Amino acid sequence: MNIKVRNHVVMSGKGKQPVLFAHGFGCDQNMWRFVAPAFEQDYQVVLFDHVGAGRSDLTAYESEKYASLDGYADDIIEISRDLGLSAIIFVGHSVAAMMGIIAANKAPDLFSKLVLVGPSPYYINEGDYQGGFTHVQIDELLEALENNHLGWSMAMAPVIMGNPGRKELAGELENSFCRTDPEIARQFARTTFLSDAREALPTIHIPTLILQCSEDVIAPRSVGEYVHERIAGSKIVYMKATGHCPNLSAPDETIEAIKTFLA
Amino acid sequence: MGSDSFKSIELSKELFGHPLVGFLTTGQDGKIIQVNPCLADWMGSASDDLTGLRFSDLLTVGGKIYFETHLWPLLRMQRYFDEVALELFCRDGKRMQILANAYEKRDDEGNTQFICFTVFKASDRRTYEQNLKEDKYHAEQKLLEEREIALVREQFIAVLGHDLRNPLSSIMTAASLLSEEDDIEPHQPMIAIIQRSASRMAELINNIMDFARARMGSGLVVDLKPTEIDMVLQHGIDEIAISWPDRVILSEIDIHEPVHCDAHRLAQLLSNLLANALTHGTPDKPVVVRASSKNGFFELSVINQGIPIPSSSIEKLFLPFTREGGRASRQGLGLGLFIASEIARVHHAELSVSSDEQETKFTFRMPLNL
Repeated sequence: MNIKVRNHVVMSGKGKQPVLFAHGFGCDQNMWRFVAPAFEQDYQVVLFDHVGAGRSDLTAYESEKYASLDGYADDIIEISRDLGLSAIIFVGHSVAAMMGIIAANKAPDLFSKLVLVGPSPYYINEGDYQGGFTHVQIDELLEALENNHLGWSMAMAPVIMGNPGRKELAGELENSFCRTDPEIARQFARTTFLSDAREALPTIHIPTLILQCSEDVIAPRSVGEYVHERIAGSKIVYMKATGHCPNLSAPDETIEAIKTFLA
Repeated sequence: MGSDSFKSIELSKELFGHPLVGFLTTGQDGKIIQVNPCLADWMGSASDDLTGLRFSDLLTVGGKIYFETHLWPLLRMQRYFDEVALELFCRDGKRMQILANAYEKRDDEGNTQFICFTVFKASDRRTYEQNLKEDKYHAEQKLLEEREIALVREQFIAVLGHDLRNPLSSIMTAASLLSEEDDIEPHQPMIAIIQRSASRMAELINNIMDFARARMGSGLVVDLKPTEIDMVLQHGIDEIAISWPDRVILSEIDIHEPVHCDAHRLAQLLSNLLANALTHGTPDKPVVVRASSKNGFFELSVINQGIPIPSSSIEKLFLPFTREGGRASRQGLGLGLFIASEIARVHHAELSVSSDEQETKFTFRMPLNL
């Protein structure tokens, strides 16, 4: 199997040390389009899509493998080994932050630094732990996905079959970002919002940066601080950027924070 | 004139002041700057209470996560999204189905100035969609059930046909042994009846099994190879003549080359057509079998005289379980012609029928070089 094709790996940059950017739930490698170019001068930039997202090979999707974050972490390790990467600076957004944590535990030889953008090891409140959502809310989310009553299927690629004469539709397809197969999106949501990766945090011993946005409803401040406390020696930066996607909302602030950490 | 312009000002105040559409703007940080009265009214809040929140704060949890992980990135990257189905989470705990559109307004340097959202009420539309989905689901379930029932029915036919064969072959063997006994002469007519009926029954069972095979997807199995078909046909005629001793069957066979076909299946086809002709034809008139190979075609016709087949019956003739209504003559299950047509189909041949006062004629026509 060609891993570069499977995960639609895209490489650029003039430097030697690799920065591996991993996207989270709901989008694809386009998520890094405003951030990644800033690292091309000094680093080797590696972008990819998780299987099931963007332009990855959908036929490689296996429900069983991707029912846990381990499956995604294994892919990250495979990509790294396939490309012969070492001393990797891993930058993971949202759920991909946890994939990076798991990968770094499984293959510590590969990674030198971790940058976690809006990380959350567990989205559900449990005892003293405030994940941000109640069990009932996550069930509601999963049910909404199951019945598709929120029309999430709009993430599907536009239907261009049967319109051979309309070439402009292919152009539209190029411009549609964050495409996801609705069935895979359902399963990815399940994996994302039901996985509990809290126990993977304390075994991380490489330099780690946590980027915490203000007013992030997906990964609230208390969760970022939890991650910070559990990873010894980690740094946390509270960003002015609001929401869950500083890589899109505030790319300059994001770049600045990562570069300061790497310097 | 004066009153007309007054009216249009009033009208636009009404339309723009209290629209049926929710409007909302946010800054590039996603925080709400302005909400129109309509949307505030739907939310059950004062407009001022909503400013400073994020758009996703107005949504139920599914939409909230969808917005933050997918729609917001989409807005940043392609500057708009259209017709997204979401749910408002109103202050009284009620939910309201909506459709939302949004676009980013940027200045000449590409900096985001603000983001505009329009929100439409879509409860009826969502109900309609849910109903359609439900109906589709039920229709699919029903279809699956029907398919299963059909499968069981066909399996039943196949098993039944198979299990009837063994006792029947015992009857035939016993009758055959019996006919060779001494002092049996007075009973020979009875034994002949047993034998005729048993072989007729064997035919019916074969037809049932072929029917099941044809219908259950696997189709009739054929072994096509060059065949001295004149011998096969003559043998088939002789065999059926034994069962119909009082009838005259004339054969006009004119074939001088091997025909690429399944010998066993063509014998079966002839047998079915002959049985049909003998059953429905006038008893005191001969049945004619005519076979030829010329002009690139192999043609086999079976002709009888008698009452013509009504034109209303002709089109259903080759469907399974079709029997001529009202005629109390010796009939089978109505599978013979269906199977004959299936045999024609697997030979890439045509099976046609013509029927008038002079004669009823079934013709099998097959190209010699496929």
